Parts: sequence; C-alpha cells; structure tokens
Amino acid sequence: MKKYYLIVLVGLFHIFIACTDKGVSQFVNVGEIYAFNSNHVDTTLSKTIENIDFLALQIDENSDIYDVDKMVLKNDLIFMGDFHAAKIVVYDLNGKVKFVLSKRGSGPQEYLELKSFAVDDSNIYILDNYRHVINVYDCRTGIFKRTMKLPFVAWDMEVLDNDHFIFAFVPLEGGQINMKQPPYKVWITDRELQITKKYFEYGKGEYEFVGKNTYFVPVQDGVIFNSMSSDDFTVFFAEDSVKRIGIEFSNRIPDKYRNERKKIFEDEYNYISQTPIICKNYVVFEFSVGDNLISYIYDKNMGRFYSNAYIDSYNYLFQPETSYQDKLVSYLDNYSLYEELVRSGFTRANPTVEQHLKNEGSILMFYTMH
Amino acid sequence: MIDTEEKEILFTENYRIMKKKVMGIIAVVAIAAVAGYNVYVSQAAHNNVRLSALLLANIEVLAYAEGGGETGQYEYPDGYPYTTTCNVRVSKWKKCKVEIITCQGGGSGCNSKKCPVHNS
Repeated sequence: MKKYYLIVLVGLFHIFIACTDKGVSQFVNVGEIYAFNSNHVDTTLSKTIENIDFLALQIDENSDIYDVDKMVLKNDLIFMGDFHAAKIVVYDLNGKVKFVLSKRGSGPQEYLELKSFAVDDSNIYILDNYRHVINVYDCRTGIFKRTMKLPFVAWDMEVLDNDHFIFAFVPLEGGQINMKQPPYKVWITDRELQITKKYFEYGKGEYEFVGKNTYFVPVQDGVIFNSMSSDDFTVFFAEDSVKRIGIEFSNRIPDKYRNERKKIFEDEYNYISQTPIICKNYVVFEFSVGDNLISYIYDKNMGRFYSNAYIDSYNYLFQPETSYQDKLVSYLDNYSLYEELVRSGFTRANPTVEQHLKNEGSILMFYTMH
Repeated sequence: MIDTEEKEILFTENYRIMKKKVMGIIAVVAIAAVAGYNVYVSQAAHNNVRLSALLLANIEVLAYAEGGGETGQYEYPDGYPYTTTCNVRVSKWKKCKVEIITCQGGGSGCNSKKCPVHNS
C-alpha cells in the first residue's frame, strides 16, 4: 500500500513538473571556431562577389518607411518590416508594391506593436507583445486570417519548418516581463505555440549589454540565432538539428565586463553586432571593431576573413539584410553615400535606378556570390 | 471484555485504516493543488492578456498625442526598456553606434517619462 501511494505521489510530482516547465531543455556545444584578428584580415572581399544587380523599390503613398528592421524574401516576394512605424511593405521581385500591412490599432484585426514578423508559404505572422498575440495575415494579399494567443514574451520569431516556430527572448538591463515563462533565450514551439525544446538558459538577474532589433535571420536551410552574451551563433536546421559556431576575437570582451555596456563601448572590444547571414560557402558578419561596425565575410573553404578594401569601393559590400538563393541582399536609401562609393570604383546602377535613388527612393542590391 | 491481544489487533487495524485515510487525503490534496495551480496559471495568463488589452487600448492615442506620428518615436505608458544601437550607416566605414532606449511591449516599469531616450 505504501508503495502504491509513493508511486501516485511521484506520478503527481511529474505531472506537476510537466505542467509548469514545458519543453525539453537542450544544451548545444560550440563546434567550429573561426579565429578573428582585425589587423590580419584579407581586404579583397570584392573577389568573393561575381556581380551586383540593383532593384529600385516603387514609392507609393503607403510604402514610405523609416528604416528596414527585418527583410524576408519568400514566395517570390520581398517583405520589408519597419518596426517603429509598425509597417510591412511587400514588393514583388520587380520592385512593385504588392501591398502594405499597416494596421497599428486596438481593433480585432490590428496590432498595437510590431515587434517582429515571420513568413511561411501562406502567412505573415506579426508578433505583438502588448496584446500578447500573433496576428496572422495572408502573405500574398495581406488579408487578416486569425489571431493566436501568445503565452510568452518574445523579441523575435521565425518559421523553423512546416510544424514549428522558433522564438527568442533576451533579458535586458532594467527590464521586467509581465508574463511567467521559462528562463531560456530560444525556444521551439509547435504550431499551437506549445514549447517543445528550450535552449540557452539564463540566470536570475542576468542581462545582456545591448539588445538587437532582430535575433534571427532566416536562411535557405534554417534559422540563425545570435545574442550578445557570447561570441558565437547557432544555426537551427530543424527541431533536432542544431549547430553552434564560435568566433575567437583577438580583442574579446573579458568575462567580467560581459554585461557592462559603457565599458565595452569605451574600451572598443570586438563583438558580433548583427546576426550573421549564410550564403553558399560564406558567412557574413558585422563586428564591432574600434568605434565602427564593419562587415566581414568568412570563406568556409579558405578558412579566412575578408573585408572591404580601403583604397577603392569596387564591389563594396553593404551589410546585407538577408540572403536569397546564391545572393546577398542589401538595402540602400542614401544617394550621397552611393555617389561617394561610385567615385571610388563602386558599380554604377542604370540611370533609372540612379535617378530613383537621387529622388529619395530606396533600392535593393543583389550581390551574386562566387 | 476485550483482552490485550484483541486490543492490539484492534489498534493495528485502526492504525491501518487511519493511515489509509491520511494517505488518501494527502493524495486528494495533492491532486487538488496541481489542478488548482494549473487553473491559477491559466487564469493569470488570461487576466494578463485582458489587463494588457485594457491598459493599452489608448496607447495609439497617447503615442500620437506625444508627437510620435509616423516618425517612429512612439511612447508607451508601460513596457520593457529596450536598449539598442541605432546602426544607421553614415559613411563608407562608419555606422551610428548611439544608444537608443525604447519601450517595448511585454514588460512593466518603463514609462513615457523614461523612454525613449537618445543619449547623444
């Protein structure tokens, strides 16, 4: 009898744990390591680029945006999100505006915050932490479909595969979330938002020295994650396929200063400032070096970092927003910078695109990689 | 008249019955606690959504009243203080590293007096 009650109590304890701590915790070791020293970088990045194509983005009365916080190319469409304006402008591959999703408001089909968004074959998912919901819209028309209740707070989301989403939350200084959730920076859920896997546990009172607009970059085979707590990035290929790659900086942030923003900025330590992008055999980084944020390409075949040349601007790489097939995609809305680069050897766009940029339009640059 | 042996048997029997009852009560209480906790968590999450929606229904109005409009400088009455760097490219080699603090949804303690702050 004693045994019977013991079994019942143990069973109840397990049910209790299962109900309160959803999803299986996972640990990912750093596999590969790329060594980086800003004084020993090959400045012939231009050799990795085959050619550059320019695309002018149509301007209409609704398409104006302040900045691009996230860009996704999917279903032959270009989705450009401006989180501050709470707007997603969708273009076709010819640069024509297909529709604009701009529904900030308190109505049932609207959102109070566009914290991030994700796109799959059918839908756009908009993450709204104010109302604790994800609003779902048709990705080809922008028509509202439904609202899903969000049982946690997240700073970014992506579609991992047909059956799973992936979310990120990173604690920041002075912040306090208004929902109870497991202390993990990344978690995978099923399509009903039930957590199945959790990664990168954080301790009580722990925070990162600065936040980012986006923590994920969707690539052809999966989703890349990076945060400021360590010099590495993680590629999630599927729910059970994960790879973590580290960067060994010559001027790395000492562990004791890892969350001291002022010290890190003043002493100009190296860190990964944007989530890396993978395209073919290249990994594109943006590192903080000195007082600047500089783009680098790591050639996995050669095991070497490349940077833009100092002496000219031939095939100069603007930090890309995303990758698309064998191309890196960058955004530009600054004519005077374009002009300055052209003067020192940057590929000139056709006159129509150039005029569009001059008229305060924005363009995309598609870098085809060797 | 009950003799000592019978007393002992009766005591042992009563003890077994009592023990059974106590263990049964513990099991019932444990089940009730688990069920109650889950109902509480579910209710709390639900209330949170309702509360947030109610509290924040006027955010848009407040934001425009504060002069946010389309410029991107929205202010919220409550939220999560979110620090980023502005990251806008200003020259071939230079990107703006100025700190920006905004209030994001999902938090408490960040209000329109504090955020956004642009330290430059």
